[in-house]
Formats: sequence, structure tokens, C-alpha cells
Amino acid sequence: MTGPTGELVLADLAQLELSELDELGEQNSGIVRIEKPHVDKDRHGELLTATAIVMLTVSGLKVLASWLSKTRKKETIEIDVTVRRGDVEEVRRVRWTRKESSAPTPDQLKALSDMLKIDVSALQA
Amino acid sequence: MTTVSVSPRSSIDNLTAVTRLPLLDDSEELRRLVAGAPPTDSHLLSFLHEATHHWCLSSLVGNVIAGLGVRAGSAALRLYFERADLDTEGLLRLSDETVHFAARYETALELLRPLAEGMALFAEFDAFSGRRSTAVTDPYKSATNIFCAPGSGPTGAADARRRFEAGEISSAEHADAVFLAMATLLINVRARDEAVDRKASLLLQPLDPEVGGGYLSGYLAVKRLWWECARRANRLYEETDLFLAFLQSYIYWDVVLAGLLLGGAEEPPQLTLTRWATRLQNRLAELPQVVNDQLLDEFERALVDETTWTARRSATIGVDQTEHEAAFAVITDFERRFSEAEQDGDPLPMLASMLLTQRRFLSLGRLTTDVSIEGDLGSIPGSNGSRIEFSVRRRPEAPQHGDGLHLVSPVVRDWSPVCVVVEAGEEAIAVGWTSWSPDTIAELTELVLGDRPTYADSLQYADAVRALIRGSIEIAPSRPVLADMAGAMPTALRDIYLPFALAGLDDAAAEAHRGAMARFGLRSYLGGSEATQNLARLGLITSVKNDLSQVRHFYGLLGVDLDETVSQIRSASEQTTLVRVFLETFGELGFVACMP
Repeated sequence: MTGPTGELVLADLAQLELSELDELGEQNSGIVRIEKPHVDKDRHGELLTATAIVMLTVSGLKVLASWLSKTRKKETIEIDVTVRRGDVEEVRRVRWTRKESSAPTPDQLKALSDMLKIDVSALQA
Repeated sequence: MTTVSVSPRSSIDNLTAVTRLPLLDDSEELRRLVAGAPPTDSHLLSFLHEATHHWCLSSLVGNVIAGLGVRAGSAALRLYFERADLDTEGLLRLSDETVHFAARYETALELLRPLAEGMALFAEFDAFSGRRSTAVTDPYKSATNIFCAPGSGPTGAADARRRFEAGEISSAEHADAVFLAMATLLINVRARDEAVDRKASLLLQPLDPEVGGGYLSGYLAVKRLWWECARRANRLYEETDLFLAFLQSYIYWDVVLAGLLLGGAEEPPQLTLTRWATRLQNRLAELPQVVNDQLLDEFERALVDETTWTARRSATIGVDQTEHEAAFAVITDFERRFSEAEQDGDPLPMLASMLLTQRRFLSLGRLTTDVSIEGDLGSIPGSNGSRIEFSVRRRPEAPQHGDGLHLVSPVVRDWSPVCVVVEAGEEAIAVGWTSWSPDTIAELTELVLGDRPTYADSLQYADAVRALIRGSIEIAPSRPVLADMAGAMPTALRDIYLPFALAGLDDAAAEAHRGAMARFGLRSYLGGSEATQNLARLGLITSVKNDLSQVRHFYGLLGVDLDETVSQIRSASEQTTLVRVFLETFGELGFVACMP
């Protein structure tokens, strides 16, 4: 189990996904950070993807759960989330079934923290 | 990784024009192509995007830029191999030569990047060839050939092509079949949620052209240019693919721009950049002024006639004879260097062959599999122990077994349907096809089986050459030139693209828009990601259908409320003129369209 501080890293997100995450994090300023995409000057191509970083707090987990539950085309999605604490990074596979409500319930938060192997009780609010 | 994101990103190498399509990674898709069936239509948008890049890179301007890259590579290669024999002066001369050409190569690509991406995105989301068009762009033609093959989905185009070539149907019947096949295919693909999300991701990009590849500013500029041109020549409202053809010809076959890219050897680099930027800016600004119905008709006829310079009718518009001759002399001189270099022992021709030969093909993918050749028949393993067979012509003395297939669309021969190159190790041993006319086969066989590097080799050469260029630049006294040109780039990009992307806004409003659209594009005006998706959907559907009753019917099938979407866009348009919806009704009839 990871401790109270750290970040959740979501790589290769399309701009729409980044925008949705950013909207959900707007009420908690700084809880979602988006890295600048890398432009490969040797290539042209489709729209770039970028990385979003969500603070590893209870609020951050709620934002992530809400985002995963947003209206999706698929009932079930899978995504790799990197849990970063200091120099230590561990990749967790999250398998999430779409929920009707965008507000995450305690059970959903518990399920998400289990998939990420995070002890919610040790996190900051 | 399995993510919530769309399929893997496609791209194209700027120097070799070798594409990386998601198709490339899917052996089942490639087997379908070998069997003569179209790939899954979910690949259509990424195909159109990269094919449009390939089309632009294969133009006069695109080839001149590639020539600059090869010249940089040649200087770096000579420096590497001749360093033991060179004195300090010789070393520095070659390293400075590398910088000279590398700076121009990189700057030209970056200056054109927003336009190139804007055109590729316009091909994905907007381009459509209406019933009146007799000419289509090469990417559109290629998509028709590959994605509308007989046997599945919106069939008819490839079948009609074969029947037309055999004299069984008229030109008009052929055109009608192609129109219907692509209309069906495009509306099916563009109306899907995946396409909506792709376009929403575009509309949510940062506005400034120097940020993140300049996708949004490039797209808004191209779309605005289309709108302005359509106001002058109304048929362009429904002939978006024809507009793209005209734009490509007008910019990428501009002989004056090509000449400028090669000139200015003695002037300060910032002045060179200013000259290029000014030419591009003026050319784009003049485009809506020169377009009219008569010119479009002439242009279209020239494209169908398949002549060379005449086919680039728009390339000479606004270019006087003196300018044309001066620019052409510079280009001819540059080309001569390539032919003379061989006699001087310069690696330039060899490097050009290694790096640029693949430009004659649009690469679709490579399939590693056992290939057998018996007589005129090639085959690979299919499902359930079956064999997928295809007609083939083998190189004399070549082995009867290969270890892979490279699937390409030969650009040089009218973007023909899929061509199958059988490879054994690093050698192309045979060429196969699925649906060609007989007179095409001999030409393609010679082309494909000629002395050419393989797909993988070209990319390896390009990476090696780029590494040599970087090494050569490190010791060059003139290397600050690169930083100088890169430093001047953001201002140049903003000056070129923002006046079109933000057309109609005064300075204060433009500045306010730059601030509001800095992070998530149009989101701040539309009110959120979901509203952006709604705008994207309406734009995608009306790119093919704008008859109000048909659009309403389509929205009904999708279970989406058209009126709510229109209301959202109208609300946004009260805050910005960049977002607009056009809805007109005439009794039972009407049309609907939107921007962007």
C-alpha cells in the first residue's frame, strides 16, 4: 500500500479526455495538472496526446473516479495509471465499469483505491 | 496499453514520407487487404490524414524541402567519412554546410506545419467530393480505391472503376458510383462517436500555432479560407475536396515559394525566414481574391487531363513570367547539383535514392508471413488452414518463398489500389496486385522491383542521417543560426496563421480570443467539453449532408437532439464569431451548416 502523498499519472490522453479531467478538477485548483505534449519535429501526424497528473489525495481520487464514470461509449474501460511517490513508480491497471451517476460513491472510491493499491484512510483530503 | 483514448496515433516521417498507420500493426487488416477486401472503415480518418500529408510532401515544395534535408545529410555524411583526410577548414566548411541546409529544412517544415496539419484535418473532417466534381484529390481517390473495394460495406467504387476501364459503364455512371460509395462511407464514419471525439479533441487544442503542433490554428485557417473561397465560388460550399485540391496546388506547387526556400544563401537567416513567411502569408491572403467559378472549372479540367504543369493551374496564378522564370532557374540549379554530384564522388545521389524512393509509395503496412510463389500466383496462410491468393509477377531468378509482404499504394501511378510487394530478407522479390488493369501491371512491376530500399531500411537510413546531421552541427561555427531561426519562429507562425484563424476580429478581440483559447481552444466559448462534442458532431454530419430533413433524420437515428445542439452553438456564437450555425428553412425544405 502506498502512503499519503504522491501523484497519479495518466499518459497518452486525447485532448477531449484532458479537457474533461481539467473540468472536473477545476473546483480544486491544482489538483489536475496537464503536461505539454511533445512535438516530434521529424514527423507530422494525427493530434498529439498528452499526460495528465492528478494529485494523490481523496479529492484527486474522487476526480479520477468521476472522470472514469463520465459518459463513455464503452460500458467497461481499462486504463493504466502510474502511481508515483517520489522516485518510485508503479503501474496499476484500472478496469472500470461505467456508472449512471457521475458523483462517486464510497464503494466506488474503495474499489478504485483497491485497484490502485492505495490506502485511502492515509490520504490527505 | 489499453486506454480510454482513440486508436494508436498515426504519423508520417517528414524526410522519407514513410507512414505509420494503425493498420500497420494489425495483421488481420493487412490479410483482408491482400485478399482484396477493404480494411475496417474505422481506419479511414487516420488514412485520409496521413495520405494528405504524403500528398503535400510529394509536391514541388515538399520535394524541395526534402532536397534541403538530403543536402544537409550529404554534407554530414561527407564530414563523417572524410574527416580523417580533412583539415580544420574543410571540417568546418562541411559542418557549416550542414547547418545551412538543416536550418532551411527544419524552418520550412515548421513554417508549413500548421497549414499541413490543417489540411490533413480538413481532409479527415470536411473534405467531400460532390456530384458535380469530376476531379478529386489524390488522398480522396486513394481512399475510394482502398476503402470502397468490392465485397463489403459501401461497395461499388472499385467495382465501378474496373467496369469503367473495361468500357462497360460510362464516365458519368462511374462518377456517380464513386460519389455514392464515398458519401455512404464518409457519413457512416464521421457520424460515429469516435470521429466526434477526434474532432472535439481538435476544437479543444490550444490556439497558438507554436504550441503543440499548431493543429487548431491551422485547421481554423484552412476552414476560414474555404469559407471565403466558397463565398466567391459558391460550388465550393459543397465541393470541399475540390477546395483542398486547389489549396494544395496553390501553396505546395508555388514555384516562387519553392525558389525562395532554396535562395538567400548569403543573407541573415532571420531575413530568409521573413521572406518565406511573407510569401506564405500573401499567398494565403490572395487565395480568396483569385478564386472564381471559371478558374475552378479550368483547374478541374486540367486535373482530369493529368498533364503536369497545366494540372497545377493554380500554381501559376498570381505569379508573373519573370518571377516564374527566376524561381524555376533556382530550382533547376538545385536539381543539377544532384545530377552533377555523382561525378564528384558526392554521396548526394545515393542518399537521395536511399531516403526519397519510398515517397513513390504510400505505405499501408508490413505483414510478416510465409509467402509462396508458384507461377503467376502468390499465396499466404489465411484463417482455418486456407490460403489467400493473389496474382504476382516474380523477379527473374528470385526465390519462390518470401518472408513478408509490404502493402503500398503507388502514388506515381494514380494512387492505384493496394500493391503487394513480396520481400525476402531485405530484397523485394515479387509484386502482386488485387484489382489492377493489365496495362498498369508492367509499369508497376518495374517500379516496385527496381533497385529500391525497403520500407524498414528507409526509416533506418533516415534516423542514421539525422544522427549524423546532429553530430555535424555540434562542431559548426554557424550553429547559432538554428537557434536564431527557431527563436523567430513563434512570431512568424502567429503572423501567418492567426489572421486567418481569427479572421473578422479586431486586435482587441483577437487578443482576448488568444487568451481564452490558450489551453482548451473553443471550450471557454462553448461552455464545456460536451458542447464541444455537439459542435463537432454537427460539423461532421453536415460535411456530407446539409439538407435539414436528412440531418434531422440522421440525428434521430443517433438519438441526439439537433435543436439543443443548434441552441448551444447559437449561444456560443453570441460570444465569438468563430462559432456559427447556419439554419435556413423554406417551408418543408431547409439546410443546416456550422463553423468550424
